[in-house]
Amino acid sequence: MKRPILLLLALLLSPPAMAGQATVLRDSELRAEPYADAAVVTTLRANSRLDVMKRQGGWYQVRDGQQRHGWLRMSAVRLGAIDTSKSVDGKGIGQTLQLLQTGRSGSSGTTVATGIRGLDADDVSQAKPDHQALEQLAHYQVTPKTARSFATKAQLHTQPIGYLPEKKQ
Amino acid sequence: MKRFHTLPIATLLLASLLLSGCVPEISLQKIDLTETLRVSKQAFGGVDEKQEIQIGDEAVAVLLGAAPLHPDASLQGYVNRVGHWVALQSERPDLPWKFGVIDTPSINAFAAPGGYVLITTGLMRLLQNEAELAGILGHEITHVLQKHYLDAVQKTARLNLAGMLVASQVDEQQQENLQRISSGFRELYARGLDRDDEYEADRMGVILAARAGYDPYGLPAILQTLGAMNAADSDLSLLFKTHPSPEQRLRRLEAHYAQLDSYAAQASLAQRYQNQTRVLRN
Repeated sequence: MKRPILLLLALLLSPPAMAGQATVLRDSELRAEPYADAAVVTTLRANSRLDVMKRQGGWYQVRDGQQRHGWLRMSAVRLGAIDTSKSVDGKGIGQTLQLLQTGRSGSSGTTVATGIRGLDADDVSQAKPDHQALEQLAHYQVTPKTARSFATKAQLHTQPIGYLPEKKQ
Repeated sequence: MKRFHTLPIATLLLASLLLSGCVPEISLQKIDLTETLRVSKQAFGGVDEKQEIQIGDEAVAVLLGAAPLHPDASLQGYVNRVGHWVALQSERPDLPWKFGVIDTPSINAFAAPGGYVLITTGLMRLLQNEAELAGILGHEITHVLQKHYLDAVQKTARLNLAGMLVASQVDEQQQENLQRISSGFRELYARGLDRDDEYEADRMGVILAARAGYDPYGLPAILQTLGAMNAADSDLSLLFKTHPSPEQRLRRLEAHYAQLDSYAAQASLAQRYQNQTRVLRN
C-alpha cells in the first residue's frame, strides 16, 4: 500500500488544487482541450483509474496511468476509486480525499480534535428552538444593494436563463 | 401540497365547461388557470407571505437549537452577500433573505420558509470556490421559492398553518400553535423532503447560480466530491438519509449538461472563496 501514501503526499503538496483519484464510467475520448470538438488524445476504457488535476466548467483535467494528459467530460467520470472503496484498510479513496480537503481523518478524529459532534437526525428531532440565535442571524442579513455591489466587485454579470425542464429518467 | 388540493377543483371547473356544451371546441391550453388556482389556494388554507416568514422563524429556530451559528461575523456576512445575490436572480427577490453558517462538522445545508438558508461549516470546508457555494445556496433557495418545506410540513404534520396563525387568536393559543409548528419541522428536518423536491432544487439551483454569473457546474462538482467520500462517515449521515445519493442526483443533472455548457466559462471565484473562508482553516 505505498501508492496511497505517495498520492496523499502529492495531494498535500499542491493545495488547493483538487487532485484526487477518479474512475472512468464508460469508454470515453480523452481530449486535448476542454471542448467537445478538441483533438482526441486517446480513448480511455471504462473503469480505468485516473488522477484528476482540476475542473474547468463541465470538464476534468486528468492524467492516466501512462501519464497521458487531457480533458474528460465530468459526466464520464466519478471522483474516487470506486472499485477500491473496500480496500484492505477499510478506507477508500473517499477518506484520502476527505483528509486532503478537510485536514481531518474522519468522524472519530473530529471528535477528538474539536469536541464537536456532528448533527444527526436525533439532534434535529430533539432540538430546543433557539430564538436568541434567530435574532443573531437577523443581524447578519445584508441589503440587496450590498449584495449587488459585492457581485460587481467580482465582475459577476447576470444572465437571463430559463429553468431546466424536468426529464424523466 | 397545493397541487393536490387545487387540481380537482380546476378539473371539475374544466369538466363542467366542457360538458355544458357551450364551448365545444375549447382547448385546454387556452384556459388560463392561474386565477382559478390562486382563488382555490386561498380557500384551502394557503399562507400569505407574512405567515410564511413567521413559520420560517420557528423552523429555523429549531435548526439553530440543534447547531450554533459560527461566531465569525465576516464569514456570516460573506455567505449573506453571495446568497442574497443568488436569491436576487429568483422569482422572489424581495423576501427578507437571511443566510447563516452553523458550526458543525456535519456536511449539510438547510432551508426554511420565508427566505432562510443555513449551511454547515463541515460543508463549507469541502468547497473549492464561490461557484460551488452559489450552487448549494441556489439549491436551498429553490426549496424556499417552491415552498417545499411549507407544503411538506402541512402535509405530514397535518397542520392548517393559515388557520393557526390568525391574528385574532389569544396569545396562549398562538403559543401552542407555534410549538406544534416547531414540532412539525423537527420531524421534517430529521426525515427530509420528497426526492422529487430535491431533484427540482438541483435543476433550479444550477440555473440560479448561472443567472448570478457563476459557473453552473459548481453544484455537480460538489456532488462529485460527496460521492467520493466514505458513505459511512457519520458527518454525512443526515445528508444521505434525507437526500437521494450523489450518484442519483448527478445522473439527473447530467441529462442537462448540454444546456449548461454555454455558461461553463462563467466565474468560479476560487481565490475569493479561499480568502473569505480562511477562518475555517485556522
